[in-house]
Amino acid sequence: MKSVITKSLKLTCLLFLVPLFATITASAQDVRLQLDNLNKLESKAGNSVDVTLDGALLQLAGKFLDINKPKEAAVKEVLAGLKGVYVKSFEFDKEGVYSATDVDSIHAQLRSPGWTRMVGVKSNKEGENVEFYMMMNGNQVNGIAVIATDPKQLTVVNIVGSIDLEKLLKLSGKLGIPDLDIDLGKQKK
Amino acid sequence: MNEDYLWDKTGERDPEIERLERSLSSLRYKRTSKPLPLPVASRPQFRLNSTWLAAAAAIALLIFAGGLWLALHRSNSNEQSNGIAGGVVPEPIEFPKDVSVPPTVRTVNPTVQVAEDKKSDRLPETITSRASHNLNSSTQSVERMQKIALRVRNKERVLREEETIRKGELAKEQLIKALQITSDKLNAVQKKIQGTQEHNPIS
Repeated sequence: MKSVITKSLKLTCLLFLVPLFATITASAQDVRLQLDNLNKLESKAGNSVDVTLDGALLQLAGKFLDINKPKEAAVKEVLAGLKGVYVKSFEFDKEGVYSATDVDSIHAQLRSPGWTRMVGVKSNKEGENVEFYMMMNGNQVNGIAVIATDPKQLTVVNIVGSIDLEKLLKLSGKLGIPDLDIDLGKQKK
Repeated sequence: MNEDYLWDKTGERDPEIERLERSLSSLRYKRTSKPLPLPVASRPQFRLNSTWLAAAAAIALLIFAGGLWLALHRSNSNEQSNGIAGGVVPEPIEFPKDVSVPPTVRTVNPTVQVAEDKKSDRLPETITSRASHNLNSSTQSVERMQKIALRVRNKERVLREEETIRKGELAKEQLIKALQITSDKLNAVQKKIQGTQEHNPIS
């Protein structure tokens, strides 16, 4: 009888823990966007940048940043809470090389719970479109995503980890990042 | 009375004979199950005679003589190659006592001491010099091997460090590049927002 009760308790715990673990794993994976579908554009692009920096490489990069140089010191401060930096940027020689379906898969990922579209700027005249997404957990930022498109360019940025936006703003002027006047509190409302 | 039964157990049975058969049955001949072993054929014995002994002794003597000749021949050729046979006596190598000797060499040092001790007993100098020369060459080869191993280890370490530095520098460049692109795009967003606010000022 006792063994039956013990087995039942173990089974119940297992039934609760497995979905919990799956949810945690899924949420961690959701912060990182799957950008592999853009790899096919690399051969079509005139210029392309593909940056994939995971935890270990980020730590290694951090060791090579010189804190005596203001630019690198500022980068190192931002780097502290980061878990991954992923950038794919393509410059094409002519228009219409990539299609909207290429970007749709990324938009679909950003519609999942947790992601919030903070800013979206669209220029019909020039055909430029820039979107800024954030994944928030309370007041803490767990990740950001930027999608910038124009007829001859496609850039997707995905930064995973707890990002201190104040520190990120400090980078302005040092890496060419401007002072952002985006009030996150107002945007959320 | 028919005596066929007594002869070959045919014809009419005789109770008296049967009774006698029964009483004497225990003494009847019994054939053993195993057949008798065949007589073992005698092996031809090897006989040592004087001819065989002489032949064996001659072969042994020839082998011994050949070995001795080879040994002497090698010894002579070694001496000639060392320049001893030609009368050129190399100077005995002196081992400075104040110089610290590596552990591998220290284990061989007693032999050197014995060689030096024997030198005082007026042993031929060639023996001392040869022993010293052999010892020195073995020490040098051990040291050379140690140096090579150390050099290989150092080279591997340097290569690993260079690889790590290369990866680190590349990662740093990629990180700065990624942040540069991010900043450019955020800059574009800010400009657009500022432009919109200037055109449509919020009252």
